[in-house]
Amino acid sequence: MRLLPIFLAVSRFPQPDFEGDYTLPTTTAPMPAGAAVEYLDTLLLTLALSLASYLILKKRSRKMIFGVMISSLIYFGFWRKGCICPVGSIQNVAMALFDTNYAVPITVLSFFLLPILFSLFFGRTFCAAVCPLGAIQDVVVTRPVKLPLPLTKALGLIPYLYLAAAILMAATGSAFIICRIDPFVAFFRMSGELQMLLFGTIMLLLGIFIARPYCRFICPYGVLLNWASRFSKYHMTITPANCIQCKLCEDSCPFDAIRKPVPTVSPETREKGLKRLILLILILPLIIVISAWAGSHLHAPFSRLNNTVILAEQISLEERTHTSLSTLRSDAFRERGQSISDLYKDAENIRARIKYGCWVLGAFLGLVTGLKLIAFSVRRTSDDYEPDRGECLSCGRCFSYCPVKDDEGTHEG
Amino acid sequence: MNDTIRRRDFLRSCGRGIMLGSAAAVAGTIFTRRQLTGPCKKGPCEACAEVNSCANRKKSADDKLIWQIDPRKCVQCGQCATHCVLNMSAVKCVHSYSMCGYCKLCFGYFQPGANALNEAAENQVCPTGAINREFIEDPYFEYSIDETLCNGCGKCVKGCNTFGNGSLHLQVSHDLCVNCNECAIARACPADAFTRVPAKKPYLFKHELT
Amino acid sequence: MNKAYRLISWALGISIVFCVLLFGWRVLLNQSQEETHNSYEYNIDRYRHVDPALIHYSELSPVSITASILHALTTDIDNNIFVSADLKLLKFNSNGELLQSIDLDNPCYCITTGPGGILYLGMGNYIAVADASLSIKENWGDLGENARLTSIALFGKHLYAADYGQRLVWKLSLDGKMAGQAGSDETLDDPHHYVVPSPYFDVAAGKNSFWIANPGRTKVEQLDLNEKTVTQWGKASMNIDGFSGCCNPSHIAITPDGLVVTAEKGLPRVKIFNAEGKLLSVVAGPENFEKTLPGCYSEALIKDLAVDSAGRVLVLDRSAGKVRIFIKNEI
Repeated sequence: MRLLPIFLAVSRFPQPDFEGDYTLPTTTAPMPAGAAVEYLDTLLLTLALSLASYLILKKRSRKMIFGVMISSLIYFGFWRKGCICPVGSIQNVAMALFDTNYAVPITVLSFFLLPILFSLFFGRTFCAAVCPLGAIQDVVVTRPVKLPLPLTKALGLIPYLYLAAAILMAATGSAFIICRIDPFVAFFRMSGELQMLLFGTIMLLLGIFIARPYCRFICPYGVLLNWASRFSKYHMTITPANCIQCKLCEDSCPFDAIRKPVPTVSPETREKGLKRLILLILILPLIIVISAWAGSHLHAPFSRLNNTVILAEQISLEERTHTSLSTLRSDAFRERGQSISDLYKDAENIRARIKYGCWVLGAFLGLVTGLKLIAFSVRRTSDDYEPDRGECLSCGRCFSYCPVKDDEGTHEG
Repeated sequence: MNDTIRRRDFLRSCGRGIMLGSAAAVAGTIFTRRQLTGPCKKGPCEACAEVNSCANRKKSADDKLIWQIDPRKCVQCGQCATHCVLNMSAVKCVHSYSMCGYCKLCFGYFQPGANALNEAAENQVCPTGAINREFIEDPYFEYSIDETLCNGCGKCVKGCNTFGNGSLHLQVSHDLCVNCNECAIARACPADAFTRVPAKKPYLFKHELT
Repeated sequence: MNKAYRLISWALGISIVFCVLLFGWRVLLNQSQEETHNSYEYNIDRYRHVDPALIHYSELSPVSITASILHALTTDIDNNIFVSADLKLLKFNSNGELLQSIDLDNPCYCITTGPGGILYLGMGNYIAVADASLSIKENWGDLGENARLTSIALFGKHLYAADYGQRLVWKLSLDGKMAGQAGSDETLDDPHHYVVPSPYFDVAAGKNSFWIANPGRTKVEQLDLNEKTVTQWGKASMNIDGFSGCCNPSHIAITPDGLVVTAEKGLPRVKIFNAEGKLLSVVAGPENFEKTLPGCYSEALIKDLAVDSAGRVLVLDRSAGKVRIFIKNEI
C-alpha cells in the first residue's frame, strides 16, 4: 500500500541553486542497435534457408553449398556473434510458454520456427549450410572415422537428454543451460570463460576425426530437426535420378547417414523377429516408468541451478550452522529484509515444479530409449542407397560419388 | 514396393501435419499470451517498483529485449566488473546530475579519510580514476564519469549511496553489450537486479524512477 | 589393422561422452559456487568502532513504532514523546505507553511543541497547528512551491522552519505571519550560505540559544535573539570528533544545559558537543546501529533526534522501527 504520493527520485533532491550560467548536463547513454537488425537477420535467415534448399535439392552442387555455409559462418557466426541462435531459441520459447512474465520477441520465435518449417519440407538444409555451429565443425572434418553402430546409437540419446533438460530449466525460469555450455559462441564473440573455450577447442579437435560431433551427438535442436526431416515432403537424395546400387557412395558420408539397401528376405525368421518386437513393445511402458522414476532423482542437482533455490539453501545453511562465511547473495537477501519463510516457500514451490519436470524428463527419455530399441527390430526394406532421413545433414558430399546422370545428362537434379 | 512407398508417404504426411499443428499451437499460445492488459493507473511500468511481478504489465510486441540493471535493487557487489563475457565489462557507472548534491567533499569521488581534497589517486575511490571533478562555483563541483575508464565495479556507487544522494548508479551500456541470451552477470547478480527491457527504452535511470 | 581401427573409434566415441559429462557438469556446477568476497569492496568498518571511554550514555528500553515509514520526533515539557509516522501522529508518555493516535491528511515531516501543549507540524510545504488534544486547528499558507520543510523550532517569539527546497530558514510569528528569513546580514547576503545537498536540514532551539545545521559545509552555527551569528564550528572528518561524509550533521538537538547533540547519516553516530564545538561524549556509535545499506535513495538510518527536559536523548531509528532512548551514565 502506498501511503505517500509517488515522487520521482529526482524530486527528493532539488537541484543546487547555481548563480552563474551553468546548465545541468542531461544524463545520456548510447542507444542500442534497433530491432531493424533483428528483422534483417530473420530475412537473411529465410533467404539463406531458401538458397540452401534450392542448392541441395535442385542444383546439387557441393561447392555452392559449401559457399553458403561459409557465408553463414561469417555472418551469423562471427558478425552477429552467434547469438541469438535457433538452438538457444528453444529456451526462449519454453520460457514464454510456461512463464507468463516473459514475452518472446517475434524475431526470436521466427528463429525457432523457420529452420523447423524448412526441415518439414526440404530436410535438414539448415544444418548443412546455415547453422554457424555446424559450419565451424564442418570446416575441420578432414579425417572422418566411422564409429561403431552401438556407440552412435547410444550417443544419440544425449541430445534428447540435453533437449529435455534445457526445456525444463528454461520453463522453470532457472537457467539457460544451452547458453552456458555452448562450445562455439566463445569463438564467435572472441571472448569467453576458460571452460567454454576449452570445450570448444576439444570439440573442434575431435571434429577432425569424428565429423560434426556436436551436431550428431549433442545438439538439442537437432532432435527437432531430426523429427521434422523424417516427415519432410522433399528430401535430398544421393542420386539425381534412380539408384543403380553401384555401392560407390557407401563410404562417402562422414556422418554415417547413408543406409544400404535392405533385402525383403530377412536373415532371421519372421516369428523370431515378431516375438522380439512384441516383447519390446510390451516392456516399453516398463522402461518409461523406470526411467521416469530414475529421472525424478535428478531434481536435486537441477534445482540447484535456480537462483532462488541456491539462496534458500545458503540461508538455511547459515541459519543452521551460524557459519560466518556468507555469500554476496545471502548478504544482499538479508539487507533486503524479506521474510525467510517466504523464501523457503518459494524455493519449495520451485523444487516441486522441477521434481515434476524431472519425472516427465525421465519418462520422455524412457520413451525415446524404448522407441529406439523397437526401431532396431522394425525392418524397413529398401532397394536403394538412401540417406537416413532423420540423420542426414544434407551436406551434399555424396553427390560427387554418384555416377548416375539425370535425364539431361548432368549429375545435377 | 509401390504400396510400401505410398504407405510411407501417407505416414510422412501425417507426421508432417502433426508437427505443423504443434508449431502452430506453440506460436498461437505465445501470441495469445502477449495480449495482456496494459499498464495500470499507477503510472508507466518502467517507473514502478513492482514491474517484474505485476500481472497487468503489458507484454507488448517488444521487438527486441535487452538487459538492464534496476538501480533500486543493485547492491554494488562488484560482480558486474568481473562476470561480463567481454574483457572490459559492458556495465558502466552513470550519473543522474539532477539528483546530485554537487558537494565539495563527494563520497563517490573521495575515499573516506582522504588526505586532501585533490585528485591524487590515493584519495580517489575509483580504482581506475574514471571520475572527473570539475569546479563550477563555490561550493559546487561537478562529477562526471569517463566511460572509457570505468570498469563497472560500483565502488563509487556504494560511496554515493552510503553518504550522498545516490545519484551515481550502474547501468548496462548498450554500445558495448552483446546482449547474450542469458547474461552472465544477470546469472551471478545477488540481488536479481538484472531485467529485460525493450530496446526502445533501454535505460532505467534513477532520476526517472520512483 | 581393423582391430586397431575399431579401438580408436571406440576411444574417440567415449571421449565425446567424457567431454560432455565433464564440461557440461563442471560448467553447470561451477556456476553454483557463489561468490563470498567482493573484489571491489567499499569498506568503512574501521570507522565503525568508537573508543568506549568516550561513550557516556546507556540505552533504556525503546518505544516500538508499528509503521512502515518514520518521519519525525519531538518531546514536550512533560517529556511526552510525539512521533510522526506514515500518515499518523502518535503521542506516547515518557514511559513509552501510547496515549493517542490521530490521522493526518498529509505526511508530517517535522514537529515541535509550544507552550500549552500546542504542536506545530511541518507538512511538506506548509505548517499546521494542533492543540493539546492533537486536533488540527489551523493550516497556514504554503511557503512556496519548492518549499520542503525538514525541521521546525520555537525560539523566542518566533517559529523557525528550515526549508530544504529553498535552502533557507523561515522566520514566522506565532500567528502564522511571515517575518522574513533567519540569519545574520552576512548570511542573508550570501545565497550559498546554507549548503544542503540532501533532504536533511535541521534547526534546534535551546533555552538561550538557537542553532542551525549547515550540512554541506559540515558546520553548525549558533544565532542569538538578534540573529547575529554567535559562533559556528564543525569539521569534516571520519574521526569521531568531526562530521563524517559530505553532508552532516543530519540532525541536531539542544540539551537543557545548552549542549549540542548531533546525529549523522552514512556512519550513524550521535554525539554531544559543548557550545564551542568541543566533543564531550558519544551517545551512540555506529556499532549501536544496524549495519545495513540505507537504501538506494540514501535515506538516513536516524530519522530524527530530540532531547527531553530530563536530558534523555531520543533517536528515531528507521531500521529498528523504534524510538531509542539514551540516558547519561551516573559518574
